[in-house]
Amino acid sequence: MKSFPTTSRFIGLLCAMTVSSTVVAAQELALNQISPASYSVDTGSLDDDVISQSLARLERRLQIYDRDYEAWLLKGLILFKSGRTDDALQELEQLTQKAPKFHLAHLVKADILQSRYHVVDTLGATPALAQVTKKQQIQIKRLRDEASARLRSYLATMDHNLIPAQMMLLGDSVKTAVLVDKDNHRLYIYENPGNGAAPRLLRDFYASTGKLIGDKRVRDDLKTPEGVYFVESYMSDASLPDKYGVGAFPLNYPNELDTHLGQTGYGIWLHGTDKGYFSRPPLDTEGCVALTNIDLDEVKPYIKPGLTPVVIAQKIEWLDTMQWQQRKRQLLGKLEQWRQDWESLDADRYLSHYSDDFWSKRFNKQALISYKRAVFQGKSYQKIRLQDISLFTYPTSKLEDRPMVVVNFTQDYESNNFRRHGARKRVYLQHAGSEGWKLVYEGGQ
Amino acid sequence: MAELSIKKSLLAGLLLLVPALLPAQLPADLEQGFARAMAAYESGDMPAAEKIYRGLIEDYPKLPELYNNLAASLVAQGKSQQAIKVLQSGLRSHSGFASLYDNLLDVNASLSRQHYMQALVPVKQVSLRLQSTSLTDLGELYYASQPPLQIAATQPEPAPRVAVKTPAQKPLTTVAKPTPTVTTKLAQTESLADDVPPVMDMESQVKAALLSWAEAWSRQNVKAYVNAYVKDYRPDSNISHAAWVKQRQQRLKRPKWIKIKLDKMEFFILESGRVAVQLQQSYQSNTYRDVGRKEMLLRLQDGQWKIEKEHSQ
Repeated sequence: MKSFPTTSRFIGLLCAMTVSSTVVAAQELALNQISPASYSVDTGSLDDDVISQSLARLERRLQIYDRDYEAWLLKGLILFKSGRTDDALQELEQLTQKAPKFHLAHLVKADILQSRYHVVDTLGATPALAQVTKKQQIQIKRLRDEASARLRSYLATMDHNLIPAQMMLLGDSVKTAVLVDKDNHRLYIYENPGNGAAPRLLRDFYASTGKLIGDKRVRDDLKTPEGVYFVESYMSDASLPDKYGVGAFPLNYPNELDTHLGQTGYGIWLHGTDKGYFSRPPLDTEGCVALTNIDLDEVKPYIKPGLTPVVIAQKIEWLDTMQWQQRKRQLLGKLEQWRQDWESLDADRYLSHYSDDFWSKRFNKQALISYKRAVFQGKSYQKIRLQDISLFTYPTSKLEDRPMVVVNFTQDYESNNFRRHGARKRVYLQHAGSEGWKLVYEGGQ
Repeated sequence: MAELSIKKSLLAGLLLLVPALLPAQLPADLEQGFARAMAAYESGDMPAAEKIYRGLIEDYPKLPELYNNLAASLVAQGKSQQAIKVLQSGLRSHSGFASLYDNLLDVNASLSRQHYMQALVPVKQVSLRLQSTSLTDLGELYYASQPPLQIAATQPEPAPRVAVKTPAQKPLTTVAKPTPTVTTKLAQTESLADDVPPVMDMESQVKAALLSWAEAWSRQNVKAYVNAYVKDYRPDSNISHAAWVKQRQQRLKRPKWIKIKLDKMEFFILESGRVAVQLQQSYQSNTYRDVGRKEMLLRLQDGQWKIEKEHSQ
């Protein structure tokens, strides 16, 4: 809005002209009414830098992916919150035309229209919605939660030069990986730049998770499990009940750790949304991770069943480059030490890498000791090569609160009496205080 | 914090208006009042400015500038909702624009209503794809927290189910209500493979059948109760039809009174016209009460919907 010189109280303009400009100006003021900073998310006021930076980022998202309807919505929300009501309305106008099933977009647009004549500081809380049914109230709350989750996580993850500890390193065979941030209701796609470099954020999407907050423990507890999982298969639209939308990727919950801990339940999937709906509230599934159908289609090319990791965490641990380098070096160093001690034929040195709590499909620690001692006796040499190494810091410390890392790798083994190449293996390392990292699980992938 | 920033941004962008008349034409009290209000505003004494403008408006109710500036001093005090009202009366004070403004309001309101409707009425589309499925499958599908992994691993034949969710229903209390008349114009044969009635018809008929079943139970009318089931109904292979009837007779007659309430029904249309219903059943008698989820399978027999299977969750 242009400002009018308040000092020149009487200005010698022609009467008619002044009158019309007076009324137009008054209308302008009325129409550009209150744009609440607290609308949708109480972020306080967004400062101008954040506003221009986030608008520019959203613009880039839209240039790259024109079906990124979330970017339209966020643009509209940020414009509205920062006082640019007309611009916000224009964005929402386009969005509701392009994505007519996006219920949240309609709600925001209607709110913006209402804001011209009423103070609208909470999503869906306008006089026009004063008398709605109980069911509609619930719907409004669901949409409100969704708006808040989308905007909050977008603002929270503005700077992304950090590396998730949950996705430290991806092996050469793993081109892309999925990371789910339960706190922020965000699903990230990371790509592997190769050569031992840190995974790079490629895209991110809004995701709905279990109705209840917390780590899944038992069947039907409506929680999304936290852990390092892998996509097992793909189910197409035609093979799925309606509620899963256009496709689904079953995960390997319960994994070896979950089973070891006696956790129950099954069928944790990454899937789409019932076609009657555009999106779902942030906490809405029975434990699965749900995307919109459009986003599921976008994610599909990045997922290879049998290979792609899906790490689900309540809260992601972010590392700067230094921290990441340090931890990577430490973990790879540990693996190398284990490998060398294995080759050394010194069973005691080799077995010292295993935790007393070790478990696997075949052995506990005692059984492992007797087995390995017997095997080592028959060896005159052993050669082991580890390749294609992926490192995932476990999202939660499920075992005695001690940090844990999942390592996936390909192992070539050769000795005087046995040889096996290309074995795909997985070990869990656990940090045992002063003793450093120990193998607590060893098995196939 | 939020509140402060609103004030600031609005103050920064406010338009203050000046009287449209030439100074010579202004009445003296208006000119003076205006000067005092402007001074108060500029010195930041918004309540004083507000008071002066309110006084002036009483004397000069047709000057939009006064409403505008009053609104500005209200907004500066954080009284946004009041400011909107003042601006609206300001616009209405100018007869030429009053109707334009009202129309604008109407158009705007109806547009926003439309969008609210679209936001809040998510219509789930029912695409009728009848496929074979068993009650067990269905139970697994909807009651297990998630489908079993085997489905994923083996990539089974496509087996989409049709889930017809009814909108929020009122509980169907059946005590002391007349029996609903079930008018069936359905195929008289049991097989409906090539004559499937429309979804909604099927749904309301099945609902009516369940309603009369619950009512028979509530009235402790054994004959009508048994009649709600398919001929020769047996809950499982360990019990004969006659033994089951006898057992039900005892159970129905023993309490002084029974009250059955069905709630939260969901209908699933299965193969050849069978319908599975999931519902919440509350049982109440003088001796016992309980509420539980139940799953019932109904099929047409001689043109009537009959219970073929039932089990509690």
